[in-house]
Amino acid sequence: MYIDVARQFSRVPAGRYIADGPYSGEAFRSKLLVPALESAEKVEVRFDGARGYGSSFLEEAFGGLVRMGRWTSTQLLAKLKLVSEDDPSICDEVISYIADEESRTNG
Amino acid sequence: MPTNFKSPQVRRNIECKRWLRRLSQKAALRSKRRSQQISAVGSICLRAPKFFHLGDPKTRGRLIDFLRLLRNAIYKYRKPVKIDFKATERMYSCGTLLLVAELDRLLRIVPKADISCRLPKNNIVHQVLQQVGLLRLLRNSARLQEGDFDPSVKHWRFATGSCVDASQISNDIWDSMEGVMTPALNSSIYTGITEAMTNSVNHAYVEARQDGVAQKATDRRWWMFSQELDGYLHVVMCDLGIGIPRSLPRTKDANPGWEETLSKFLSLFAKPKREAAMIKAALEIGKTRTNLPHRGKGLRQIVDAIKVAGNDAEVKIYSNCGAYSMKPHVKLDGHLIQYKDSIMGTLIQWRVPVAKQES
Repeated sequence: MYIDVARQFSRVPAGRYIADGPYSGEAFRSKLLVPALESAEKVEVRFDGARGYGSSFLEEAFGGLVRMGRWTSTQLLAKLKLVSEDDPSICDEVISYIADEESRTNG
Repeated sequence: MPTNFKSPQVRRNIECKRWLRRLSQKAALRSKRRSQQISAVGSICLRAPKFFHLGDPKTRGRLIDFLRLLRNAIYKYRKPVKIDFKATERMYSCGTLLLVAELDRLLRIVPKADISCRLPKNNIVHQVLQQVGLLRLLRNSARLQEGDFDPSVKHWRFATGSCVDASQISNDIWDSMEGVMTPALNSSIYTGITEAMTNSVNHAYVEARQDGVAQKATDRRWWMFSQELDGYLHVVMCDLGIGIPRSLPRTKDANPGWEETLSKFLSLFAKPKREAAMIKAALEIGKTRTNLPHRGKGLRQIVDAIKVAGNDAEVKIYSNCGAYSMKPHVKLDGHLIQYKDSIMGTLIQWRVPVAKQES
């Protein structure tokens, strides 16, 4: 299964919580990421095509997955395939948010 | 026991007359700083500053005085107000955005305010007033032919919103940026703008502004200009909230040792630079304020947005009395400025070099 953020969610993702705005990290996580992770063994997330990604959006979408307690960072990193041809640093940033949140929650 | 027979309207009128009297006495004493004229007891004529600029302490002081008078006239005394732009010579994006934001906010709170303006002598200033929507806000119908606008005016774009939704900035603004910047810079500026929005919505309006204007806690508005001029893209964004120097020291939701950490950081700076140092503190230690390490990274991204833009880029953050500016080729850890007057909010200004666009 794959998720194209720009096509399936928004070209203008921004903000952390649903209360912040319609295209927030929390909204992306609950509408697309979690259902995809629940139903598929492997989920490819494509970041190209959006205008950009702020840390609030990415951290809440991906770090928030660890905070939910449903998957460990190891499970998430095995299930997720991150693709960003325009800006490969986005994938590293997402991985760091998942790893940071794991180390925070496990002390 | 004296009884107060005066109705609220009568009391407001008396208070207003006293205020105007005090203003005129002050103005007589400081003839150079006369920023208002009392045309009649029933209405107030406010003389707009010559320059709308926040960087220079003198022009900034005059602009902030003018905005304070404007708030009092519209909100406190509910008098008909005429803004006289006759002497205004130049409107910079920072000062102009602050005027638009203040006026827009006041007119959302007092929609029936009786407001008008006297047009400027300077044709470019007239064009700016029209281009950024100030004439519409001031209910003035004198319109110039937009096709004849000066190149320094025709690329000004305006947006406002009250949530973190970049679609509230119209596609033509994003497209105009895309047309002149590299994809990496475009994405970086997008990140800076949306993180500034996130900060405004989540942190700026957590307490009252303390400017005497009662506002709904739910209105967490930001305002933005973009302008392409002389080979640079200028993006300015502001909120009229409590400002970083008030939001950063808040102990609500903060780690137990936060006060000590912050005061230790601030002790490195002279006391007169306190509010400017607060902005630097927000950038450097702001993420340790809560026990949520994923929070507080946004301001750093706002500043880092210009790092891919080359040596000519610059970012400035004005917040209350403080200011922080960073030019990658001059000083990577930024320059601090402390002013006497507070803008009562936060204004962020990016300047990045772009490819030439045909006018």
